[in-house]
Amino acid sequence: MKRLFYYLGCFLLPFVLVFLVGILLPPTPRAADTSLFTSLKKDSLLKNVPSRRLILVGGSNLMFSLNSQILKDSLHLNPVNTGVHALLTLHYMLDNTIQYVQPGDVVVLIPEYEHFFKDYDIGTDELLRTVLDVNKSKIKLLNVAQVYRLLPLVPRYALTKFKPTEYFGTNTNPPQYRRNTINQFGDETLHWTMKRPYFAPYKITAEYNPVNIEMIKEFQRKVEEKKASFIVSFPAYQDSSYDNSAAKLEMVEAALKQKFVLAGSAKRYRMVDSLMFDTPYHLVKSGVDRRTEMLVEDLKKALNAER
Amino acid sequence: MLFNSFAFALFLPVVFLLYWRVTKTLQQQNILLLIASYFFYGCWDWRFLFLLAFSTFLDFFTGLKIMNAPTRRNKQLWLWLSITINLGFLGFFKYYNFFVTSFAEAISNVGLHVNPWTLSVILPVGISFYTFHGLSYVFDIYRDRIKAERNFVEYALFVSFFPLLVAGPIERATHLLPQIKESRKFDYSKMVDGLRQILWGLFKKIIIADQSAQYVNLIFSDPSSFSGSTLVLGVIFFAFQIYGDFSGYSDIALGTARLFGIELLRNFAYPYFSRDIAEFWRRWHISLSSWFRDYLYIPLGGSKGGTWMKVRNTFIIFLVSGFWHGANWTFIVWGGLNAIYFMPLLLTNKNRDNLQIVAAGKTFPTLKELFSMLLTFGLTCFAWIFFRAKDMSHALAYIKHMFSRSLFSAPNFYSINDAKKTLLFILFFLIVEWMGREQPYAIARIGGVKRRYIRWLSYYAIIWVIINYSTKEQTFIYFQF
Repeated sequence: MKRLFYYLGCFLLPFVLVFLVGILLPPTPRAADTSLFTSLKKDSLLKNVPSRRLILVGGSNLMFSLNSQILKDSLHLNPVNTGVHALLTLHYMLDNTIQYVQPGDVVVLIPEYEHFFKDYDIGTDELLRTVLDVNKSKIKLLNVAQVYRLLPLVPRYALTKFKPTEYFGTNTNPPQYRRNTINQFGDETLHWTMKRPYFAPYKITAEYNPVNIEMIKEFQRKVEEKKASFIVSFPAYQDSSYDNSAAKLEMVEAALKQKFVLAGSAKRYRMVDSLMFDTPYHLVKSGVDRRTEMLVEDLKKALNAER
Repeated sequence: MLFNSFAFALFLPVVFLLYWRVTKTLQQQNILLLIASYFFYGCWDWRFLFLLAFSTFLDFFTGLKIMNAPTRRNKQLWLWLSITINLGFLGFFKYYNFFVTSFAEAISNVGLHVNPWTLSVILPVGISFYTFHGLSYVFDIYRDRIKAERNFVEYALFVSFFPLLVAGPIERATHLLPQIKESRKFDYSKMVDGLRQILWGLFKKIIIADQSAQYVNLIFSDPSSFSGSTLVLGVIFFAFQIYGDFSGYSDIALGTARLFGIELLRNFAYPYFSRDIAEFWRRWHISLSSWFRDYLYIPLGGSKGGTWMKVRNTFIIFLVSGFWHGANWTFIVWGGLNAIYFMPLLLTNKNRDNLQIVAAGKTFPTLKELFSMLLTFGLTCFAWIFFRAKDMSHALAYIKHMFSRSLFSAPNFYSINDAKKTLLFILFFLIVEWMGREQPYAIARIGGVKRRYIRWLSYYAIIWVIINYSTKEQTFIYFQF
């Protein structure tokens, strides 16, 4: 038995060392040029943009499908688009945002529908890279379930630090998913001039999971404690993807309706397929403007109702 | 708790340490394994623990009753009670909806319409496997091959031992129970061998099966949108997906059991190197094939009653075997096709020609052997279409599009470049399997390499590939059966 443990220990030691070094090494040039790193700038916006702010919280449906200049001009608020990636998880997004909320802010939460299904919201590689590559101090925002989910991903993450292609190869990240493609509000604008690629519509097959509704409720309480306003709205969503999962999306809407002030409805933000860019949540420029104008209308109504 | 999950990576060392360091007696070891097995099963769905416990108790009890019954008639009565209840549960959970909807469809053909009363029944994971464990036990007692077990813990461990609980191998009481009853000693070389087999099983599952699964899911999702050659590639990927998945699972199960000093039945013996379908079925899911042979084919008369009897019995076991896999006509057709493939061999008495592994002791096969292997693989792949398709119309559409003009064009789909990488892994896998085909599992011979650094470098390379190319952990295909 001792022999087994001795040799097993010797065998595993190089792995442990490689993993530790991999974690401690700075992000590779390729990893450092992904849109995950836009969260550094977005955190800085949250810290520095003066009041009164319109803080938009969600995944890439915000980053790729909003024109914050229109929001600023129409609502006379200073927009901060915090959206990066849906897989950063609602739990992480909300905990990260709450620390920057100030009195008078308007916080608009626009989650992706997947956040309400099965265990999608525990996170995966994108979250791991965010807390290890982008900003290690954010590890404290993870909950136990997330740590448990992310731990097995650490070895693969660590090994990427030793891949020559990460340092010397051509950067294969699509240009719109790189670090320096967002404007002063946090909107990704490069894809506004790009040709739309083909993608298959989504279908949500996972089971509904109501846990996040309660989490949002708690977030609302914290926002209101800080004397800020809280509104929930819906992402723009591709028509054919909507048809694939209509009952599930409406289930999410009904659950949100019971607990929150809603700006618009799920149906209202259905977008024809020709307005979509590369996922059912990302819009081409004309779609971005249209969606933003709809959001302006809905937010005006919701804010007036609140007054 | 999947074998390829983080939870299992935590669970196994804990049980291993408790087993070898804390428990002092055989009884304590067995109790620990039983608790661990129930915990393992409960992680899937704790509600089905009661079903497992009931099934275990039923067979334990009827086993004793059969053994002690004063007359043959009484023995038969208890045997039929056990069969009826066991198959009743299996039938309810697995086949109820199939029978109800098939019945409704059948009578609608004669103008009668009924609304079939289907149920949302969740299939308890592993039910087909542990039901067959229990049945083999009562059959063996009935035939006086073994005596009924009097120690409930030992019997319960035989049924629920966690490495084999959810997807086999389907063990026999004659093989496993004596091991459970004997004291087990820690053996360093066996432990290392077990770990090595687990590693190879993980490679098969994570690299071969899960990588292939991505393209299989894509290509099978809409056959009409792909060329014939792409559909051929899709079936080949599926052939390796299911083999990597199930034989990988079996390797992990065998390796895990070995860590506890228990040897399970071998389930796969390089089936894709078979020279005919009969050989394929001696090498594929061996524990199920031999179960059907011993408890169905031979009781039906086997090959003793002339040609007609042999043909009938062969069709019966292949059709039942297909149906065992799932309540769908596709599985029955898959079984039927294999029976048809088997017929020429059976009728010419050539079904036992290839009993030894191909090209034993040689580096390369002869051209004839190579051709036979490719032909057998091709036939098997064609049958896999039915196994993978969601229903008959899906399977037929797949075949129709496959045998179109585009069969002779180059395969093409949007992730073809990634698929080429997976094909390279499959090629590497085939080479390793070929080189290790005379061993119990392909990389077993690494254990015989004298220089430690060469052995370790081989393991490091495999682990590196597993870590680097792993996708999200995916369940094993055979859990649904």
